[in-house]
Formats: sequence, structure tokens, C-alpha cells
Amino acid sequence: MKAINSVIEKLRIQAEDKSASLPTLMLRSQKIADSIFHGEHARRKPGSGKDFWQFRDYMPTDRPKDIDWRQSAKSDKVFIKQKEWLVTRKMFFWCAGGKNMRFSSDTNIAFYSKQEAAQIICMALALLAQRSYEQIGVYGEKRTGRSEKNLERLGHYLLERAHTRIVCATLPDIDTYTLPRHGVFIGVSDFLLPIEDIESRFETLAQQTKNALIVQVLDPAEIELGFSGRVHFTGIDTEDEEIINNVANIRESYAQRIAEHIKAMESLCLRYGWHYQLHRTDYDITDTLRTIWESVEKGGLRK
Amino acid sequence: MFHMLSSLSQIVFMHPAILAGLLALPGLWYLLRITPPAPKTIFFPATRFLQGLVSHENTPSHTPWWILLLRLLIVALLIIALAKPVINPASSLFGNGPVRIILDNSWPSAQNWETQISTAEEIITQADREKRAIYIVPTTENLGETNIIQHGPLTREKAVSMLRGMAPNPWPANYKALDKAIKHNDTNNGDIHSIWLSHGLDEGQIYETLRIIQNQGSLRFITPESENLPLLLRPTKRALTKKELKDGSSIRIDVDAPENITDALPVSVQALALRNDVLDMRSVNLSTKDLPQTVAFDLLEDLKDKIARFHIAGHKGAGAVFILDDDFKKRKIGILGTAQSESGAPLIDDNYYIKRALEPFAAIHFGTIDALIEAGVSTIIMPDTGAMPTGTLNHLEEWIKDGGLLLRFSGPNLADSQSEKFLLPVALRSGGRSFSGSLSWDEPQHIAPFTEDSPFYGLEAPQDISIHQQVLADPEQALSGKVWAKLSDGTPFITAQQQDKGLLILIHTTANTDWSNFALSGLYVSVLKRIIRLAGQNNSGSSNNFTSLDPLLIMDGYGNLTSPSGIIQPMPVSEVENFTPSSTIPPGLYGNTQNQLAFNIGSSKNIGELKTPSSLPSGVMKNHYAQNYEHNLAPYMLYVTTCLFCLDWLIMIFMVGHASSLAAHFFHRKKTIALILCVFLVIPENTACANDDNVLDYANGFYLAFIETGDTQLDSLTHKGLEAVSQVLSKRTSVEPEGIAQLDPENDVLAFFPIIFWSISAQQKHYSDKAMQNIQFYLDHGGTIIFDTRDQNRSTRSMINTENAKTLRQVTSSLDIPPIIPIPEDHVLGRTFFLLKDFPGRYNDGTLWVERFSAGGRDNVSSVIIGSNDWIGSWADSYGEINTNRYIGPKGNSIRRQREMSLRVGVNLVMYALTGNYKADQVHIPHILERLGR
Repeated sequence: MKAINSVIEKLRIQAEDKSASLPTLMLRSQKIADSIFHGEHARRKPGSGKDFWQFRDYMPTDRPKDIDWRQSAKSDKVFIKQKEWLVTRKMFFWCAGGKNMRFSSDTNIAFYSKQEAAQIICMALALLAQRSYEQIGVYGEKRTGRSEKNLERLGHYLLERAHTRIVCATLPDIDTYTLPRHGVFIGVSDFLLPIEDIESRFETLAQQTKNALIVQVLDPAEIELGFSGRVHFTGIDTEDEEIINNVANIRESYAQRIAEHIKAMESLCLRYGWHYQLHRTDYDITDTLRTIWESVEKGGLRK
Repeated sequence: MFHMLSSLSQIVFMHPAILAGLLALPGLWYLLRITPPAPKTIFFPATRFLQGLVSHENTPSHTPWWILLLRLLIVALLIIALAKPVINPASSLFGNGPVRIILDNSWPSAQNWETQISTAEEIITQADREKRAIYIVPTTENLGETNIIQHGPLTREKAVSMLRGMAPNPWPANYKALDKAIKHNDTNNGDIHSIWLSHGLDEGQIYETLRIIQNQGSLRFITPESENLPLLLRPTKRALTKKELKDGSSIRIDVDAPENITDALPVSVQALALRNDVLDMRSVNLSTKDLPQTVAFDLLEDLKDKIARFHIAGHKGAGAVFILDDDFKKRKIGILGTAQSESGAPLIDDNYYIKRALEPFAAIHFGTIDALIEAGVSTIIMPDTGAMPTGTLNHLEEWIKDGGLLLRFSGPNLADSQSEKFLLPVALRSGGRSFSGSLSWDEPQHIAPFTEDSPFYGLEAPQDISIHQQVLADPEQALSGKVWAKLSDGTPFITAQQQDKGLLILIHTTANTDWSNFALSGLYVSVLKRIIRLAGQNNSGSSNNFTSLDPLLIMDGYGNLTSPSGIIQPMPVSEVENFTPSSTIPPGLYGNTQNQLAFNIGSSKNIGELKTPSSLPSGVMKNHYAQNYEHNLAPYMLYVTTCLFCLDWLIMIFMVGHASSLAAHFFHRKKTIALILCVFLVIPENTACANDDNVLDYANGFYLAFIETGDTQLDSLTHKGLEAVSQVLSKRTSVEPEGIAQLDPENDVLAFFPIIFWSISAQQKHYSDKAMQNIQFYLDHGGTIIFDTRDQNRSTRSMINTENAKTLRQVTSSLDIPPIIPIPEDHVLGRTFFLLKDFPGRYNDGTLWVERFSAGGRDNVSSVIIGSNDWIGSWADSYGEINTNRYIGPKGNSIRRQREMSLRVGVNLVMYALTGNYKADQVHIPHILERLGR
């Protein structure tokens, strides 16, 4: 248990690293902006927010403690000070796992595997969300919250995903779990599956939420096919096997095919009004996060 | 035929059964052919996206044929290597009875000795392989013995060690003794396979021996190649040509060889001085038609005097060396008078006869006594002389007493000079004695045979010499001791007397034919020759020592002169002309310090013409020594196999990673490749290089050295301590150590270090026997080792039972260390640089032990110095920061003071090792100066 905790700690430190460089100030300044990611989303009607919204006449149904005496003293009327109604989003994180995700084309330790990258992205987003007073939850559970405890739970979840025994865990399990209403789905995976399979899942998911962020994490080798010579490629399934005598010969056609797949993913997300972001493990995660942020800021998730 | 095989170089497999593995090669070919090189297997998540992308490139479904060939080659080589191929194997021996090696070890054998021995070893190995009994018999008797012993039957180890113990002897083979020795095997039923490892010469009647051997079984006769046949240096027999006579100064020597020797073989003869400096060298090409070939050296007089021996360059053995004595170089003889006969009729002149007799052996000077002495002659011959001026006589007497030899002849002048009894060995009666004159009734007398106590013993006195007239000696008591030769009636013919170091000899007849025909006989020459040989003899000791010659230096089989062992008896004078080298009289220098005679193999008349056994009896297998010997090829083949394997591996890398990523793959694996290359190329040379570098350094400068104990902490402490001493030495004395050397006694050469420190620790490693031998050698050859047990604090009584003392005892138990004593108060160690009463280190009361008697030749320096005061620790402390080690010293000594004292001990120790007893001798300086009168 202690060991797991320390791993989580480490994971968190890595994630904090990534998010720290995104200026918190900027996040704060955007607080008022009408953005899902900004935590307190002003509903432009009186509510249980913190900020002043309007004064109105006292009605007998109002609680006396709501009377704003200072305002009332200015006239004969008794006023009630209303605050803006604030809601927070509940964000449900889902991260792929399994052997596929653990793939890394570079044995260098500093080079993240897809799994590591996905974990960091998830965690960083969670931190951003937490600081923006969003509710954080794990896809598959009902509980959400903003406390450290929630972050910890997410950490556990991410780690557990990384070591999942389920061989193919690259798509969210939509059959056993329904996303709570207004929940935001944040999913990170390599999505290296036939586009039809993905589409069928996303179809169901799209009925549950209109707000989603899909991050596709890919290894550069998966995009560029950086191998050479005679190679025997094996996938997860036994029939998933391919012997290529000279990889260089097929590199271009493969790259084209993968590009098509990415494109299809992107347009699929666009269809549902979701955000889509591609992340290459050889790129800086901070850049990806910033891009995500910018696209979100432009109003993608707002509704 | 059997013996034809061995002349060809051939490859034989020791385990031919393994070669059957080669049959599996075709199967291997098939297997390799159908298996393409394995692809890299990569787990790739996006594999499904690769489906259908396989291009229709033309992929090789088989391994290229040349790779197949390479691999088959590797396997084939491996199989062949395992079969242990051997080039030029010792061919299996003839027959199946015992094997007998007849090893020529007479004087000509040194030339090919190594070949003979290695061939013998091969035969022994082969015989052992075939489990046959081994006999070894040499062809000469050992020094001082008269019989040859046949050794055997022997085991392989015994036979080899026996071979190692044998060496060529500088005398001829004794075939008779050999026959006797090998006849022991007559009981065998004729199945002995004999192998005669010959030096190539037939020394007398070899055929009889060969016949006996053949009766006992088969014989193989191995001879050297014709260019390796032995050579012999002989005194030249050739008459001088006229031109040479005119120059008269050349020294000549003959090079003799058997006729079968390679024609025009280049031979260089060196003239060497006493200390082996080459004075001159002459090269000739030996012509087989013109043997022996004469080599002439034209040298300046004084250089000629320096020649001690001749040597055939590049040839070994007693025959290739010719040592010289004074005879060879011609002594200077003075004859009183003039060379030209005064009367113009030489045949009646005394001097003419003397001159003709001695000309071949001596450089003859004529002149007055004074002139002759001035010329530095060793012998003065005075023909019939009467009176002489007193001054000249005194001068002559002085000269004789100083070691000169005066030979006088009688004659009318001497017989008549009644007053002149001066400078004669015996008193003479006045007037001569005439035998067959007109007034005499006596018959002419002959010379009686020489008795054994005469220097002329061994010469034959012919009966046709008749003496008509003689001078007679006055009978006196000591007369008989002075007579060297008598006439048949007992009257003295030659008398001699010693005069201090010199010798007076009188021949009682004339030098010419006036009184006898002695001057016409060969005996005349022989007697004169023997007499002039006596010149320069220091005769002060025993008076009658002219009858035998002591061995001074004896030649060994390789032609080196060595001190004789006690076995060798003095050589009787009678042997001189008739010298035959033998096990009892080996060649060498005989005589005494003043008068030396050289006896060479080549000068012996009994060594006849050199000849090879040309026609061996039928049935004798004859061949030459093989040039190349059994050579195991397996290691080379394994080496090549490994190289090919690496090549194959490299090719695989090339194949798998095609050209584009070649470099990446290469660098990916460069560590492994580098490692392999290291193993193959670097490591064997590495150690040697490092060693040589160090050795050069050590030889060039003075290093303080210490023995590695294996206890790293202690080693670094010792290093530090020595560095401190080294700094102090450089600062305060003229000794400037170049550095500190850490020595591993097992591998390092200790000889460069005058002093070695050895800190004893219970944790030290175990030293091998080799290491201990190395250390012992160092101690025996002037080295000094200082043992420091560093544990005075722990021992109650000095060095008894502490851990370190035990270790020291254990270490030194295998060393031969002379008895040691506690250091005496006046030992020079306390005075070599600083004046020290005690020798403190970190402790003070430990006893210092030194050798009781220092061996000679090491300048009184003790080979071991043993103490327990932990100087090392103290020095090391003074090197670094002040450290709080415990110091135990006399009260009132501060730590600083004691540390200083310990450094002084260090300086004294080094000085002691370097200067020896020099400082001890300095004590006497005042007396010496006083004596010098300063």
C-alpha cells in the first residue's frame, strides 16, 4: 500500500510539473468566462453563487436572513440580495490500459510510453479541473468531488488501469456504466481499433453526454513506422500478425493509413461536438495540454 | 619406406574418429538452407493497420549460399580442430621392442646439441605413447670416468630429466666403452630399435659399433644437414709462403671440416681477447676441395699479444674454440751474439743451430746481454761463452733472479775459463772430458733415457746420438737434484738450478756439432722447445715441479673455460706432445700462473681427419634431423573458427539491418564488439606492455618499494608512509626517489630496488611459491627487505606471539634467512645519516633485528631488518594531517618529536641500504689521513 502511495505521489509530482507551467493566473482570470473548464459557470440567473447578481423586493417566502439591510435602508423597500446561480461540471476521467498502451518504441526511461503519457495527461487535466473548482470523478463511479481525496482516487484508478489484466481496454466500457447527467467525459487512449468499433461505442456515449474530450495518444513509431529490415510484427490477438521483409517499403502506405485513421477519429468527434486532441509521446505533454486548453477556451465544451 | 615419410611435412590427426563428424555437413547444409534468417519480432499495437500492406518485393527465402558456405566452413574447421591435427608428427617408431637412444655427446656434438635433444625428447614422447621401454646411452664417458653407462629402462619423466642433465663433452667418443655398454642388451631377442642421434662425424671405428647395434635390432642413424656439420680449429700445418715469411707477422689458424660439408659455407673466425672482446674477424668460404682452410690474421704486435683464443662465430663447441698459449704466439728468445756468422761458414756457428731449431716456435733476437734484456726476452741462450764483464754479469744475474731463464751451452771457452764459475748450475771441473779423442780410451757416450723426474720425460733419446766431449760437473752433494739428463755412464748431460725466480740451465756439450751430433738430432729441437717453455715459470716454490702441469682452466663441451673440479689430475709432462683429449685430461689451459700451455682438441694429433660415416651398413635407416617439429594445429584452427564466427555474426547484423540502419545497429552493439575485440587483440599484449614500461622506469631511477599485502588499507598506508620518507629524503639528502613502487612479488621483477619495505598484516594474502622464490632470489642477490610487524603495542615481550608476528613467521618460513640478532649498539644503521640511539616508529621499545653475519659481496648490509615499531604508521601520519594515533615513546617525547625521529630512522634505513658499510669505514678516516701524513 505504501508502495502504491509513493507511486501515486510520483505520478502526481510529474503531473504537477506539467500543470505548474500553465499559469494559474490565467486560469483564475478566465474564471468568469463562460467555460466548462472554468469551474464556476455563471448561469446568468439568481442562484447559490458567491457573486452578487441582483436586488429584488422582499417576498414573504424569503428568509429574513437574506435581507440586505444596507440596501433596504436606502429606501422604504426591503430588498433581498440575490447571488448568481452557479453550477459545476462533473468530469469523469477514463484512461485506456493494457499491453497496447504500454508500448514504447524507445527504451529510454525519459521517453514516456503511451500509458505513462495518458496517465500524466489525465492527472494534469484533473488538477486543472480541481483548481478550477470542477468536480472530479472516475469513469465507472458515481462519486465526484474536488478534494485531494478525489485526486488520490483518480491516481489509484490510473495506476490500476495501467496494470489492468484486460488485454483490450482501449475503449470505455459503455455497457455496464452510464455517465451521470451533464457529466463531462474525458477519455484518453490510443484508439488503435477499427473506426467502426469506435464509432459504435461513441454513439452510445454521445447519447449520455454532449461534452467530451477525446485525447488520442500515439507512439511516433505507430505514426511513422520507424522500423527497418525484416520484422515480424505481432499484435494482441494471435491472428494479429504480420511479417514484413522490408519495412521501409511499406512505411509510406502505412503512414497514410494511420493518418486516415486519425482523421476519421477527428471527424467522428467533431460529429458529436466533442473535442479531439492527438498526442504523440515524443512531443511535450505541456504543449498538448495547452492546445487542449486553447481549443476548450474557444468554446468547444460550452453548452 | 618408413624413413621416407618423416622427411615430408605432413598432417596427422590425433583423434581421427572425430573427423567422421564431417559426414554430418551435408545434413547441416540442408538444415541451414531451408531456414531463413530469423526476423526480429516486435510487438506492435498497430499491427492490424499493417494488414494488406505487404508489398510484393522479392524476398530471399533462403540464406545466401556464401553464408551457408561460411557456416559450413566454421563447423568443418571446428570438427577438424577437435580431431587435433598435428603437423610433422613424431612418426611412430619402428618395431615394437624397447627404444634405445644413442646420443652423441662428444666434442663435435655441441654444434647440433639442441636439435639432438629435442629430437630425443620427441622420440621419448613417442615411445611413451607406444608404451615402450626407453634406454639412453651417450657416446662419451663422463668427466673423470672411464666407462659409459647405459641408462634404462626409463620412464618418460626420468628419460627427459636425464636428457636435460646431459651436455656435450669436449673429448672424442669412446666407441670401445660404448660397445661394452650396449652389450648389456645382448640378452634381448634382437628387437631393440636404436636411434643414433649423431653429430655427423665418425670418430674412429664406428662400424664395429654399428654392427653390434644391428645385431641387437634395427638402427636409425640421424645426422645433421651438411651445412650443420661440426667444424674444428687446428693449428696451421701449411708452410708459410714467401710473402708471408717476409711479413712474418701474421697469426694463422686452420679451419677444418669434413669433406661432405656444404661447399662454400661462409665461416667467420674471430680473434678474441681475454675478456671476449673481438679483436679481429676474418671470413672465408670453406671450399670442400681445400680443407683445412687457413685463416690469417694480420694484427699489430701488441694486439697480437692480446689474443687469447680463436672462435668460429656462430658455432658452438670445444672444437670451434682454440685457446692460445705463449707457444702459439712465439716467445721472445734472445741469443747472445749476432745472427750472421762471423766466419761466413754457418755450419760451424753455434748460433746457427740454435736459430734453426727454434725458428718455428719463437721470435729470436740477437744482441748483447744488455740489448736482449732491454728487448724483454724471456729466455737468453748463451752459446759457449767464457768471461764476461762484471757489470754485464751482475745485470744478467739480476735478470735471472727476476724470473729469467738462462740456457748455456758448453764449449771450449767455458771449459777453459777456470775462474768463471759464475752463473752455472753446477761447479765444473776445469777442462772438458773427451771420450774418443786420440788420447782417450773411452767410447763416445749416448744420452741415457730420461727419468720420470726429468722435465724431458717422455722424449725419446735416440741411441745414434753420440757425445764426444763434455764438461764435467764437480761432484757435490746436491748434484743429483740438479741433473735433468744424464749420459749413459751417469755423468750429467743437462743440469739446472733455480736462482730465486729464475732458472739456470746448462747443456754440457756444444750447441754445434763440435763436441757431439746432438745438434743434428730431433731431440735437440724437442729439448730446446721444452726448455724455453719453462721460461717465466715462477719456480720459487717446489723445486722439482717441472714434471707435471696443473689444470688451470678446463674447457667444457661448449668451449667455455671453467675452473677445473678436483677430479682432474695434473697432466704429466710426457703427455704434452702426445696430448689426446679424454675424460681424464680434458682440453684446456695447463701449467701454472706463469707458464701456461693450451691444449685444444684441434692441436691433438690423435684427432685425425674429420670424416662423416659415408657408407653405413645396409639396413641402417639414415635421415637428417627434421627441421620442423611436431606442431599442434588445433589452437590456430580454433582461433580461425572464432574469427569466422565473428565475421558471420557481423554479416548477420548487416543482413538484418539493411544498409540504411547499418550504422545504428553497429553502434547499438558496439560495446559487445569492442569487448570481443578486446578479448582477441588487446588482452594478451596488455600486461606485457605495462610491465615493460614500469621496468624501464624502475631501472632509470631510484624507487622506494614495498610488497603488496593485498590488504588495501595497509597498502595505501604504506604507500603514504613511503611517500613521506621519500619527501624527507629529497629535502634533506642527495637521495631523490623517483616514486613509490608497489610490488607484486609474483609477477614483478624485484631486482631494481635496493630496499623493499614489507608491512606485515595478519590479513595479507597468501604468497605463492613462485613469489617466495622471487623474494629469496632478491635476498640472495644483494637485496634488503625491511619487515615491519607494526604491533609493538600489542606484544608484551618482543615479537613473540602477536598475530602479525605469527604471519611474519609463516611468511619467512619458506625463506632462507640467515641468523638474526638484536641490533648491536654500534651497528652502522644508527650512523648512516643521522646519529640514532634507538629506532622509534609509533612505538619505541621494539627490538630491531638484523643479520648476524652479513654475507660477503653485499657490503655488510643485512638482507633482512625486522622490527615492530610501526614506522610505516608514523611516517604516514607525518604525511597527512596530524592524526591521533597512539604513540608510545619515552617520556618527554612529544608526538611531533617522535615522528621526526621515525622519519630519521627511515632516512637511515634507506642510506644503509644504499651505502652499505661506507659509513662504518668512515670511522677510520682520521687514521687514514694521519697515515697519509696530512
